[in-house]
Amino acid sequence: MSRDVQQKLAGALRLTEAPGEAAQSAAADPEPGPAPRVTVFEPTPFRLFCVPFEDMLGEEPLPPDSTRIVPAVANLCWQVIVERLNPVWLAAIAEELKESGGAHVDALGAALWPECEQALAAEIADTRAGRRRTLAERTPKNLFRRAETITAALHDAGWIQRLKRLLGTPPVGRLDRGQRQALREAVEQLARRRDARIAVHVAAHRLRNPAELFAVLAGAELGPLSALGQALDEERDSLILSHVAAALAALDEPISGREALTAATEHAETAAAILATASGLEHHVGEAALLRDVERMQQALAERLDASLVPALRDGIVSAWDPATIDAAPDERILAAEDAARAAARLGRDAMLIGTEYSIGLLVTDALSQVHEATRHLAASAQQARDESARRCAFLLVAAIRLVEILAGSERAFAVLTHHRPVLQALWAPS
Amino acid sequence: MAQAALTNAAEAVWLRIPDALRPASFAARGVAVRFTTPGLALARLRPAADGGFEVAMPNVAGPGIYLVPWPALPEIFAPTLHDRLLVDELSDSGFDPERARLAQLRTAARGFAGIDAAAAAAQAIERDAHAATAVNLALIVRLIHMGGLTAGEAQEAAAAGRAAEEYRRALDRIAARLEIDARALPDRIAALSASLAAVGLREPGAGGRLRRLTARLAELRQAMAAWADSEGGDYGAVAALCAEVAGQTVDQCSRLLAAVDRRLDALIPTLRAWPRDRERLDGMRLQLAWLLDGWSRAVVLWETAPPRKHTALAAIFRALPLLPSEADGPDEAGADLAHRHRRLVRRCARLFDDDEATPAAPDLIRRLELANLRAELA
Repeated sequence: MSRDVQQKLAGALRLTEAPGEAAQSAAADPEPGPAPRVTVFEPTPFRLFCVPFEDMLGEEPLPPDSTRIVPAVANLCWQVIVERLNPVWLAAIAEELKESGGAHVDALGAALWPECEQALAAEIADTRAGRRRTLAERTPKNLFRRAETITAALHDAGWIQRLKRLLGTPPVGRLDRGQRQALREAVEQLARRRDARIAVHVAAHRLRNPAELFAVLAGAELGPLSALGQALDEERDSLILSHVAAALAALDEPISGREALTAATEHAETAAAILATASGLEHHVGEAALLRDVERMQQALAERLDASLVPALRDGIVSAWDPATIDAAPDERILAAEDAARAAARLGRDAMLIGTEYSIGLLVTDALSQVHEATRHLAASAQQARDESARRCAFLLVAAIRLVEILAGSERAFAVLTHHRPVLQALWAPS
Repeated sequence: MAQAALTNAAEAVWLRIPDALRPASFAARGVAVRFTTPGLALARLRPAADGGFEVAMPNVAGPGIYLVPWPALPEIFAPTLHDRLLVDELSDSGFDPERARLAQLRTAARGFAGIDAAAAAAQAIERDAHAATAVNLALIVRLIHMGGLTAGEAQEAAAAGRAAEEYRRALDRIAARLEIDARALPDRIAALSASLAAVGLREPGAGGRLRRLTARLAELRQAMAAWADSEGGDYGAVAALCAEVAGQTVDQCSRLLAAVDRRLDALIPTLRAWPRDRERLDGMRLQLAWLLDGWSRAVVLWETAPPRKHTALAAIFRALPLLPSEADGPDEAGADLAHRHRRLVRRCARLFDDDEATPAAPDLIRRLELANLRAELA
C-alpha cells in the first residue's frame, strides 16, 4: 500500500470519527460564488423607458417597410422626455434601478412609464401645434409616427408586459394551445377597455412568426378603433413581410461551419412558416398585393435554398462521410452531419410549400449514396480492425446506419443494419 | 399522430385497453424504458402473458392505457433502430428497472443513441463500477475504526509508513469478532458493497444513484407544489397531484433507505450473517428501483424546463408513475390518489392538447435521445 493511500485512508478515518467535519470541509471549500445575477438589461432609466417597446427596436439599416424603431428614435424621444421630467425624481428612479440590479422592472416601470407617456404626449402635441421641432425632423425616417407608437406603448405598458410574459422569452417560436388561449383572453380583456391593436402590434414583434399572433386573434374583438390603432393595423402585412425579408437577408450570408448552418436552417424554416401563416390570414384591403408579395417571397426563399442552404447541407453530410476520410473523422463532424441530415428532413416537410422538393430530394439521394459507400468501406475495414480501431469502426458503422435512419426512416436503416449485423457482432465481441 | 394511430388500431384484435384505475403490481405497471421513438416517449414495457414483451401506452385523450405486443408495434408506427435493439437486449424473465437500465446503457454505448450518448453511457457504466469501489472503501474505513484504530494513530502510522500493517491488524480484529478467516473478510465486504452500490451510504458516506434520485425527487415535489400554488387553476391542480404522487414515492423510498441504513448501522451483525442479508438488501435495492422508475426523466424535464412549465407538466402528468396497489400501506392514501388522478385525467384530458404541427420525427427522436442522456448523467 503506497504512502499516499495510507494517508488518504487515515484522512477518511478522521472523517468517520467526526462526521460534522465532512460537512464543514465541504462548506469551507471555495465554492464558486453565487452565479452573477443575469440582468435583463443595463439598469438605467433610459433602458427602463424602452422596455415596453424593446422588441420593436432594430438596428439600421432596416428594410424599407420595416415596422421597427431604430435606437436614434428612442434616443430622441428620451431626450425630449428628460427635458420635461423632474431631475430629482428621475435621479431617485435611477438609484432604485441601480440598487435592484434590474430585478423589479415592472414595479419601477409602473412609476416611470406614465410620466414618460405624459411628457412625450405633450411633446407630440407641441410639435403638431408648431411650438416644438425636435420630433418634426425628417430623420430618422418615420420619427413622428414612431414617437406616437412609443407614446401608445407607454400608455399600454402594463398590458404589453402581460402579453410578453405569456409569449415567453424572445425570439418566441411556436405557441402552444395554452398560450394561444391565454393570449386571446388577455387581448379581449384589454379590448373591453381600449384599442388593443397597439399592444398586439408591439407584442407581435416578439415572435419569430408574427403572423401566428394575428392568426390566434383572428375574429377576436379588438376594441374601439383609434387613429393609431388603424394605422398600425394597416402595417400588419408590412410587419409580417419584413420578418420574412430579414430571414431572407440572413440567408444571403455565407454559410460556413455548423453554427452558421444551423442558423441558416432556422432562418429558412422561419421564413417558410411565416409565409404559410400569412397566406392563411384574414386579408385587408390590398389582398391581391399581399398574396403577390407572399408568392414573390416564396420564390425568393426557394432560390436561396437552392443556391446556398441545400448545397451547404449536402456538403455537411457528404464530406463527413467521404470513404477516403471517414476512418479519421472526428466525432464533431459526425454529429454535425447528423444535424445537417435532420435539417434536411425538416426542410423536406416544407419543401412542397416552398417549391424545393426536387433539390431536397436530390440532396437526400446524394447523401444516402455517399453513406452507403461509407458503410461498404467500413465493413471492409472491419476485417483488419483490432481493439481500439475495431471499436471505432463499429461506432462509425452504427453512426452511418443512424444517418440512413434520419434520411430514409427506420425500416430502411434496419435493413442496412441487418445486412451488416455479422460484421458488427464480430466487432462488439470481447477480444 | 401516434394517438390517432393507436385509436385506429384499437379495433384490432391484438390491442387491449384495460380500464383498471391503476396497475396491481410494479410488474404490471411495467418499466419506464428510455425509448427514443416519439410514440413511445410515455410508454412502459412489461413481459407479456404469453412470452415476449408488450408496450403499455397512456391514452392521452382520456383515462386508460393501450397494450400492444411488441412484435405488432410496427403496424402502428416504426420504432427506432435504438429501440428495436434495446428490446432485443432485454430478457422477459427477471425484467426490472435495473436490468433495463443496463441494457439501455449497453445499447447507447454502441452508438445507437448518438456518439455523444455513447460517451455518456460509457461514463455511466464506469461510474457504476466506481460507486461499488467507493462504498467498499467507506465500509473498510468504518471497519478499521471499529477495529480500534483511531485517526490519530492512523496518521502517525501513515507518516511512519507502517499504516498498512495497522489497518490489517484492525481488520483482523474485526474478522475475529465475525468469527471468520481474515482472508475471507475482503470478499465479504466487496459482496456487500456490490449489493449496496446503487443505493450508497447515508451522508457523509458515498451516496448512491438511487439515494441521490430520491433526494432530487423530494426537491421536485417541493418545486411542483410551489408552482401549483402560484399557478392555480387546472394546471395548478395537475401539478399539485403530481407533487403528491412524488411525495408518496419519496415517503416510501425514505422508509426503505432508513431500513438499509439500520442494517448498515449494525455492520458487524450484518457481515457476520452474510450472505444471509444479501437477498434482503438486493430486494430493497430492487424495490427502490421500482419505486423510482420513471421519475428520473420527470426530474430532468422539470429542472431543465423554461419558466413556462406547461409542456414539461404535460409530459410528467401523462406518464405519471402512480404507485400500484401492491405498494399501498394500511391507509387508503394510494387508492384515494388513484381516484383523484382518474378524475383529473377525465377533466383535463384536453388541457395539454396541441393541434399544431409537431416537429419532424428525426428532431423528436433527437430530443428524446438528449433527454435520456441528461436523465442518465443527472
